[in-house]
Amino acid sequence: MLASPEIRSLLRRTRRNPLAVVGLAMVGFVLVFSLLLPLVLPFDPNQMNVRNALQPPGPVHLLGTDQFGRDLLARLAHGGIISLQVGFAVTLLSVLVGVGLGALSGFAGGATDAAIMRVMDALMAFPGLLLAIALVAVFGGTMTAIVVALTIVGVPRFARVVRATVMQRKESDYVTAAVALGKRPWKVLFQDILPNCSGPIIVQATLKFPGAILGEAGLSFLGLGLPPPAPSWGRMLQESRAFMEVAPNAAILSGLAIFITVLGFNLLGDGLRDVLDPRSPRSRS
Amino acid sequence: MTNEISDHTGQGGAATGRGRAPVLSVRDLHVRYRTDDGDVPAVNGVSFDLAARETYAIVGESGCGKSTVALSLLALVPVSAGEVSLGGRNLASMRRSELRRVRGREIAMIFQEPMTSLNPVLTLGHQLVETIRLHQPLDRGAARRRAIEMLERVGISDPARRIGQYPHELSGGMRQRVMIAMALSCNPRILVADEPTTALDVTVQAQILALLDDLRAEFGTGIVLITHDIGVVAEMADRIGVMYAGRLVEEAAAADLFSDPRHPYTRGLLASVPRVDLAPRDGPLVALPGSPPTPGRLPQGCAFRTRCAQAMDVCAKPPPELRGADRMVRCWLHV
Repeated sequence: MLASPEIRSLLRRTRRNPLAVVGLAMVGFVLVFSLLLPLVLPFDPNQMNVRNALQPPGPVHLLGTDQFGRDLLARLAHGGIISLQVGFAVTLLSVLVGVGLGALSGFAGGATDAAIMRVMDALMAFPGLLLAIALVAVFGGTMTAIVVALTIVGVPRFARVVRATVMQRKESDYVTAAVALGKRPWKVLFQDILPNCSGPIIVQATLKFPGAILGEAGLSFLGLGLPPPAPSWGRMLQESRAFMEVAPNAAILSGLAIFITVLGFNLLGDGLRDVLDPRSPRSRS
Repeated sequence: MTNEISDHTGQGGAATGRGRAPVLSVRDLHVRYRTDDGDVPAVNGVSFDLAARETYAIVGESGCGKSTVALSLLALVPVSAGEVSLGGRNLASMRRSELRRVRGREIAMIFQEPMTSLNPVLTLGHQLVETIRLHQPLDRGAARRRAIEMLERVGISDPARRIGQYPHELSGGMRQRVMIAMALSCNPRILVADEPTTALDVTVQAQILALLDDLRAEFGTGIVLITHDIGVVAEMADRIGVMYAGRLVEEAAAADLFSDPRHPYTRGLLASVPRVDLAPRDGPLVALPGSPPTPGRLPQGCAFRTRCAQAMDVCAKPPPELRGADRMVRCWLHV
């Protein structure tokens, strides 16, 4: 499917969109920072050294240390891994479940559609973070619980987008033609309808990714994320608040990490949406 | 002219009058669309027969229900009453699993818009091979060879290379050829062509029509041709049914219809088409006054009487049914 003309023209048009390129660069930076940097850093992110606490940036600890003397650069980089893991897992799960439910809803219609969409409406009626807090409070602060909670919050929007797109594609000429040739319904769905829904799904996924990262940061800021000493950005931000006057680097840097990651993925997602929306002037190739 | 009524008066056209059993027989077909404003009748009792190797054309203005007839021949729209029988089996009452075995294998369809009738994300080869394997027990290699063979047969050059291309790499005419190849790849007995050339350039139109005619002769496929273009019909139809407001108002062999149109609507249609084979007339082409009635709000009696120059008092009564075998007309002028 990667070689499909839709995807190829998508990449070509993305390159011409400056904001998307900036977003792509920021995302690239975050990926290198979190995935490659930990391999070369000499510090364990959880190694405490209280005598070395709250150091400003210097030649040994490039970004300084936190209140327990842990290397900030190492903690930020490892925190990036946690954020990316959560973002990736939540996005993947939301896509799988959301596309499944949305496709079933849009394709089957009738009572199935009504049942699925009313459940989605009910989930959407709760404020996202509040629902996630409740779910994590119930399941406990493990990685699985956080991912499941954020997925449950994220699925309804996917289901809606996919349902609407599937309903639209269902009326297209090539779907009528496929039915007229005697194709089975599930084949029509998987060969003719879903591959042609890839645009909106991709956009929704790139927007879900930063949403999930922000969600995890929010949960851990509130003390509901992974338990200490896990270097989650949200918890780092929360803990460093107390020392902001003596050592502002920890607070600023963990905030900046969240900011760059979320902004980068959002810009990329917005750029992709511009490119995929036929009404936008940038979409023309 | 009314004295030429044919001798055999079969029942509602049950006999084709051409000495061959029909491969497709449509009886009293009704289709209603459900809308928010209630049911709208789109087709109100259409009957016709298609013999093997024959081209039956349905002609009419936009909105007369001809495309709905085309779709209902494959049960792609719900048939509310009547029969579409294919070798003695009624398609309109089949279960979905039975329908899937009939669609594509016994009756296939090509559409008006070749630009949007192919799946844009799959290669031509992928789509053709899928279609062939739906109904024929061939492995991928054999299906691929058959796909190349079909593309070659519909006049696509270098089919072995084309098979790896995507629809957007082809012109409209080429795509319509691919659609025809797909439709005929399982050797159906009937091909329904819904305005197959409307979206194409005039030169390409002629090529596609010639191709359809060749394939009909070669594969023995009967064709139901839906069009609003009398010129297209003149080129390849054996019999013509003229449709107005969801009904056939006249049916005849193509030559007879052109030389001796009987229903005032048919005459109006023919008079509104410029012809190069006739001497220029005095004055401009004649246009039919008014526009077709809205389905669901048809005039009492004959649906055409509000636009008919020869309307009489009796036209407020339902017009006579189509009778006879070779020459049928639904008009009080011809009883």
